[in-house]
Amino acid sequence: MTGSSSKGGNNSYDYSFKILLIGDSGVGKSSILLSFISNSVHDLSPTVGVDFKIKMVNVGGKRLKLTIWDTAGQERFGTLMSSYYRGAHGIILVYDVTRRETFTNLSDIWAKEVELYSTNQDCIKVLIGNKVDKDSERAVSREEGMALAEEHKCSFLECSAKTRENVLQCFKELIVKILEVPSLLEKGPVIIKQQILKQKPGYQAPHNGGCCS
Amino acid sequence: MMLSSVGTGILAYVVGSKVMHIRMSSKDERRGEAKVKSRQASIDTANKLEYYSVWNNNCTETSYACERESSSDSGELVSVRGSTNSAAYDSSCFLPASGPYNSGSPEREGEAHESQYVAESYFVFPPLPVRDLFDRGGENEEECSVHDFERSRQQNTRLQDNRMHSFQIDNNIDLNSEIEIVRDDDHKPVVGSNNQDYEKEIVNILRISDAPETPLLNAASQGGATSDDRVSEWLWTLHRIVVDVVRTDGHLEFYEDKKNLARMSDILAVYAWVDPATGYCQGRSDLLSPFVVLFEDNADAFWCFEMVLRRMRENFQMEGPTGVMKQLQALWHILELTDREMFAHLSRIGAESLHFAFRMLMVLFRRELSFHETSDAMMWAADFDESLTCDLEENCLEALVLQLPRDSGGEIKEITENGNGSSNDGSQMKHGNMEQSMSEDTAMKSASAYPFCGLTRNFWSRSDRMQIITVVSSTKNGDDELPVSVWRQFLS
Repeated sequence: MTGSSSKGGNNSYDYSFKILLIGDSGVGKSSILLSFISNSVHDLSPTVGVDFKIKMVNVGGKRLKLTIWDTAGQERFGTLMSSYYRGAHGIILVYDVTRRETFTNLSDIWAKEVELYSTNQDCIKVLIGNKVDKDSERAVSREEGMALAEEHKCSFLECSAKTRENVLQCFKELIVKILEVPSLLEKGPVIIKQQILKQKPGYQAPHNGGCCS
Repeated sequence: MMLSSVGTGILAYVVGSKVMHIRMSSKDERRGEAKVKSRQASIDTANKLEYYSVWNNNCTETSYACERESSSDSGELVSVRGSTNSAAYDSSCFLPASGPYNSGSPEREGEAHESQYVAESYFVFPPLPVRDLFDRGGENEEECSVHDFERSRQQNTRLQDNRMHSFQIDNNIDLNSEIEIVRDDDHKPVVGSNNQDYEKEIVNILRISDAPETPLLNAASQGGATSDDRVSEWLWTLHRIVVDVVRTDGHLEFYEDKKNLARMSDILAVYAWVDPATGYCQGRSDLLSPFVVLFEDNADAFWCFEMVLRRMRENFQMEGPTGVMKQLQALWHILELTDREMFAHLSRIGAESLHFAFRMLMVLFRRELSFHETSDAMMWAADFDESLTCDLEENCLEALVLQLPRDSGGEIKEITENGNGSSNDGSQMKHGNMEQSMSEDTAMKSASAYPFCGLTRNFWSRSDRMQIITVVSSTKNGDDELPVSVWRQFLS
């Protein structure tokens, strides 16, 4: 089942994926996203709550709509968190290679969050070490990153949002993996919801309110 | 460049560099020793204290003050925190600079006193969460006289000496028992326990509202893991503050000056300290920034900030449905009643939770409205003074409100008076815009400079009715069309 010709926006697409960026404050989640979405690179304010970006990409002849959720690094609002994770197809775990605690927090805090909230068992995870442009300040080695990725059975990449090195690959890696998992292709929560809603002409009825997180 | 050093440098760096000139002159010979210690600290401390080492690395490059901070002053935090949750009084103490060496931070001290001085002199606070922070009896006179810290540095330092002693006792206990950072017995101060009772008294007086009633008073003496945890928790808080501060309003030249970053960090840290129930939370720096820009005096900025947070505090609570969640739900219901088309659209795209509006409400549209319009900041300040608010409303806002639709080319819908719709014309909102902003890869963050300040009229007027202003308009920013969708809801 696909969301073929779904009209979420102006564009049609074959699949719609929800991708989540998580990790400590200031590791560069928003920057990675900005680097991926637009080619610009500049300093960003701390994310408050959640930011969304949508990008249409073509991978393997399929038109994909990526809804990327860029979360705030401060784990504060549990109720929000659950809705971030709900139905995510892919999760990008980001740490800063120059700040070791952001790396240790991934396994101490963020991996647990994923386990706790993630609803897609097959959800794809990618571990990203950001800021490799600051190689002289590096505090986490590439090998350590790979070891952690292995431990959590996810792919690993090091990138730099600043130089855009490997940024596209991060997303590509994730998307290709998602496309390999049939269950994820069937579980498009957005699509399902849209289809349900399409069948209901009385869409403004309050029963939709139940979907609020 | 600044980012790299400050970003991981923590408050210590900022504060440390601020008072460096004082320290350098007084205790320069300790530099080498401190370095050794801080290195040792980074080796000794494991895992959760790992960030010490990061700081130390930064600090050794920059200032002696920082070294002191990272290696020993951090311990200070335990005892202060352990013994109190107090406000202005301790704010001068917890700050890293005011270390056991007493070459500390006259400036901080001065600021703290200044804040008290100012507050006592001019402001009448409404009876809100903070109880009288300045009910300090006989010491007030003395405190105020410290106002000019440069002039009365000696006196100041002496004051600080007295005050610090009782902290240092606990401090060293903590540090020796748990973290092998402090080996500065030769610096152990003379015991001055005469302040202890007084401080406890202060503790009881000073507390912002519903701080959890944990028995912090004795935490220090219990020592062990709890205080250790508290140290690392607090350091983590400071860390998060600075990580955010250096990224806040970075486009302003004002914040190229590290001093201003330091000011912001200090104020946020002070607030996090006096209000442990909410601590530090992302978004605060956005709320604070206008005040830092607007006021030269940290105390003024702090109290304005504190005033804003009185309204906002619920948003930052750690547990349960926060204020913002409630507001979002309210907003959803309001939308349902006032704009069915928008409501239907949002329902259709599955945006019932209105996550996109979270930030708007959380930081009071700081990200949607531009800082460039200083009048925005003016409004914040104006809220502090009723008469000025009135004045602004009479003289400025009408013009600004009128200016909006003409410039924006979008539609404006303004609803006041419990949704009775005083102006219903132009009520067809551009859903196209909304859809765009939700569905395309448009940058959601509006960095456009735009005169939206007129919107603040209703926002700032203090009435007990519920007011909403809804504006949807589009602006041009570079080659991107940025749909700026603004919901403003104010439940006063």
